[in-house]
Amino acid sequence: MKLGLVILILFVLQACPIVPCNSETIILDPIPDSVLNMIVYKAEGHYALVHSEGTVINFSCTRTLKKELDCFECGRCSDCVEYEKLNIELNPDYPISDIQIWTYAHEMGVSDIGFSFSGSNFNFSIMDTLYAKPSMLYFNNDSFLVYKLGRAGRYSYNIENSLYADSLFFSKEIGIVKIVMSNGESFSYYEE
Amino acid sequence: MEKAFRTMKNRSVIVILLFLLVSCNTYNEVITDWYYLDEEQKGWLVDSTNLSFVMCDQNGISRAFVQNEKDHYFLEGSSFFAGIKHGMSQREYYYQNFQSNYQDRLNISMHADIESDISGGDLWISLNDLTFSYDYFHEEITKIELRDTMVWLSVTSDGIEDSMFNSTLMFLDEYTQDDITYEDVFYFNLNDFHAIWNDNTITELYFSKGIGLLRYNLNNGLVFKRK
Repeated sequence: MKLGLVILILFVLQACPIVPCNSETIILDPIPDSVLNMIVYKAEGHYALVHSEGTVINFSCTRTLKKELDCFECGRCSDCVEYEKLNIELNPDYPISDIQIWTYAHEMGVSDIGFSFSGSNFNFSIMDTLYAKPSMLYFNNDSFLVYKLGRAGRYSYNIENSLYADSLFFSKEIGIVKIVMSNGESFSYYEE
Repeated sequence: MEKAFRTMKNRSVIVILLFLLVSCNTYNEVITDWYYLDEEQKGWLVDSTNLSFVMCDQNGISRAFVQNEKDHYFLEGSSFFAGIKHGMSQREYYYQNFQSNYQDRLNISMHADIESDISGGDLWISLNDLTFSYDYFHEEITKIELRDTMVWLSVTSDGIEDSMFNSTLMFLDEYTQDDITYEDVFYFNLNDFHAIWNDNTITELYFSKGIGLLRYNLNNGLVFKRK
């Protein structure tokens, strides 16, 4: 009888905690404009890349900057982090896959700028630009600093394809300068 | 009283025996018919020994398809009379799935024919938004699906419904592409659902026995050929 009473009290305590849950939502600083401006692609903008065999592929852009909420459950309570995330999608007018670009705010500042295309991910480390040695690109009487990004990984759980994007060249001034495929084909910046 | 009890006991024994017969796997084996794909049909499966193949369009842009999934099992069917299972079928089934580096999806599946069954063995091909199936028994296209629109023919014991498709599937003894001659090729030509075609709708497709996809054309004029 006593045991039953103890179990009942424990059950009630479990179901209706006396100690209130102190869930906390941490709101991170927004992505600074200096980082947002590193990615030149504008909402509803039109951009183009030319394939190594000469075909010009046009891309339409969607750009969304929105708040995300990630919650981490700890017992009955959950702590949440609210942060800003920028997503850019370049949709081609040719049957190849789209190009995804993203970055987001985190506790230590801002994440790398991520790219994905044709089975590969690439990361542009904002901090590393202090140390990385870019090359100079001369184009239409202008010069741009270009960073070569190696393949950071593949984004699919499927079996590895023999053909994938092998490297990506990125410039803060003009965006994607070139994507080189594993078979030597490439897509390069194109301006009419 | 004793007689009634004995009758009841006998009936119980019969019921128990019937129950055992119905639930017992040995009984299932006795009533199960197994249907296998014949070698002729299996020949249309893609040669996946190298797992990957490359298609290239007329603009020199290549895409590689790699096999993601390959499956082979038996599809079970049962027939009942008065709640008692009296027949089972096991139809051999093959499935292959390929995906390209530009997110194209190619599926090939095949069911075994059931002799005198109303539905014959069939071959299903699905490439991106287009799916069609061909029935070996009736030698007809039985289904076409383009994105969310699908039409299939009704197949009953009286036969197959008159085809409402304008699309065609033809078997070619030979087909030459880039100086290579392929034998046993089928050619599919889409001529339905015009209202929902877009630039990337697949309008023609060539498929070779044992080799797989040879060529497909899009509505925007792009032609992809096996490299």
